[in-house]
Amino acid sequence: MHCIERFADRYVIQALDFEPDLRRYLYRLTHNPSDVEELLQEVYMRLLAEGASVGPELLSVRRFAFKVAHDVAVDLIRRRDLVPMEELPKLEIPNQSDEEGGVEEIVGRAKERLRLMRAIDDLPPRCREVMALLITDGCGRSEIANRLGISLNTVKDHLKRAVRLLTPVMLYGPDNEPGHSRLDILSQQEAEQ
Amino acid sequence: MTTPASLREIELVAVNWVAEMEGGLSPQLQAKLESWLESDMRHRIALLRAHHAWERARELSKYLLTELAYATDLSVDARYNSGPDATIELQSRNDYAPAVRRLRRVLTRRQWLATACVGVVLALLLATLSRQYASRTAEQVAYGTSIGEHKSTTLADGSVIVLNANSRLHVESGSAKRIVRLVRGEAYFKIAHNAKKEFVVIAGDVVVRDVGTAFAVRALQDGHIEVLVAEGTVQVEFPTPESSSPDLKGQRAITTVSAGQSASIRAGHVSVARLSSTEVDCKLGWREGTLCFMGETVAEAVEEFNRYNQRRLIMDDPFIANWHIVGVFSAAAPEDFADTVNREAELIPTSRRPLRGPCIHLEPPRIAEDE
Repeated sequence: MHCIERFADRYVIQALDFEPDLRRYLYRLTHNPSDVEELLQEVYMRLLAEGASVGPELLSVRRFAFKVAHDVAVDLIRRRDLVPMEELPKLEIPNQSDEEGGVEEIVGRAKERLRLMRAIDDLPPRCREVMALLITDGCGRSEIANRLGISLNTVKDHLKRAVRLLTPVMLYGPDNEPGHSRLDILSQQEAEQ
Repeated sequence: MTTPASLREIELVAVNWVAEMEGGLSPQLQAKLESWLESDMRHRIALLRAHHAWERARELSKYLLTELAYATDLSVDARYNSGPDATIELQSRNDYAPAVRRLRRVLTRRQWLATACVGVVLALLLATLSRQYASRTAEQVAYGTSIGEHKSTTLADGSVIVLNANSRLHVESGSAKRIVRLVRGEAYFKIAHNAKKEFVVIAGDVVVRDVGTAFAVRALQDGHIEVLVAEGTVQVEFPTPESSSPDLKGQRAITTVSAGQSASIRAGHVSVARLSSTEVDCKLGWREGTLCFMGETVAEAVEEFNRYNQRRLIMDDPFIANWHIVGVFSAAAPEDFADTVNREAELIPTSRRPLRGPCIHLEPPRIAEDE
């Protein structure tokens, strides 16, 4: 990110660390996976705008992000149906430690690990070798090329392939265990039918 | 309004860009990436997310790859074959530099913190510089500690002085000799050898000449001086009793004290004792904040604790004063010592003790008196 990262990105970068929490929170308010995706985008847009503004630094990006998430979710709910004011959800920022130790979080992490393990297993063998040399052994890329007897460009191609195959399993979203469980989606689909 | 489907597409493009970045961006691709980022805020967010996901994938892979044993044989191969490629590796690691990237990120996140750190470092540097300057201009530099404090100082020649609690000394530099005057308390010296510049410690009327070594000098009451040598040898020079006659330039005696020995000089008499290495470590334990007793009396131990703590230990019952004790205590916890002694005292039948209750206690907090 050395070439494109900007100072304005700092809040977004911090929020990425607790994206699963935000997703869970948004899902609790909307009960709709595609709403979660969209609202999350809005939260990130606000964080980006806030990062670019001249105002004072945010004391807690987490608080700010949850507040924005709450506001945009409430907006959406009110746009859709007529909900009496008193029935609108109140802002509740989940405690960081609660969330981290939560069952959902633990299960989420374990599943993520499993997905990545499978993805590594599915990599082409040469690609995996390159990854191993780069990541676990800290070899430089020209060293990898020498060691495996392939060209530097081939090494780069293997790396690019590794990024394309491994990154998607780490991106949260409906395909990869979002902030809510698969069971919720199923039960919701059933309810819709 | 963006549909989830198009969000998914953007995500895929972003992952592709992260892959390209991993391969190294050409200037053309860089420009293309910039314009893609500019065209929509969502692109930027997607790229940040994808990059974050890749960083986590890398992090977790490091562990998983080892766990899956893909890495093992290759890693051995790679480790034992570094040599001529070393520079190449460094260069290529440089242009790739994930660590630098991470560092940059941390920097952005914690910029204010970094600035603060730089400020503190600058302040420290200034303080050190001005101190060095002071010691170079001044003929004599004084070092002191108060009760419970100990301080370590490295002199310009590389010699190290560790000053025990409630001690004071002057260092005279610039002359042909390095002269340290111990005014009060105890100090440990680790001398950087310099054949041309003798290192001399003066305590009371005792002169300790170093021959390249590590030793401790302690000034007790009434001109009683103790010298303990940890390494090498020192020469201890002191006035003999006859020299206290009107003839002021009276005779002086010289004794050589070598490693593992301690010399006690009192009123013109010296007694040299041989110590085991345990005893030497024990006697120098104060440098690590421990007090170690090997047969000292409780009275002596109490005195010792009181050198380290503003709150003094008080003996209520002289009955225990002459007990001999063996043990290691934390200098900062006189209450532990008091507890130990009191527990021992409880074992003595009350009929044989003049006083009931605890024999020793820690005085309540008070405001430190100035000497």
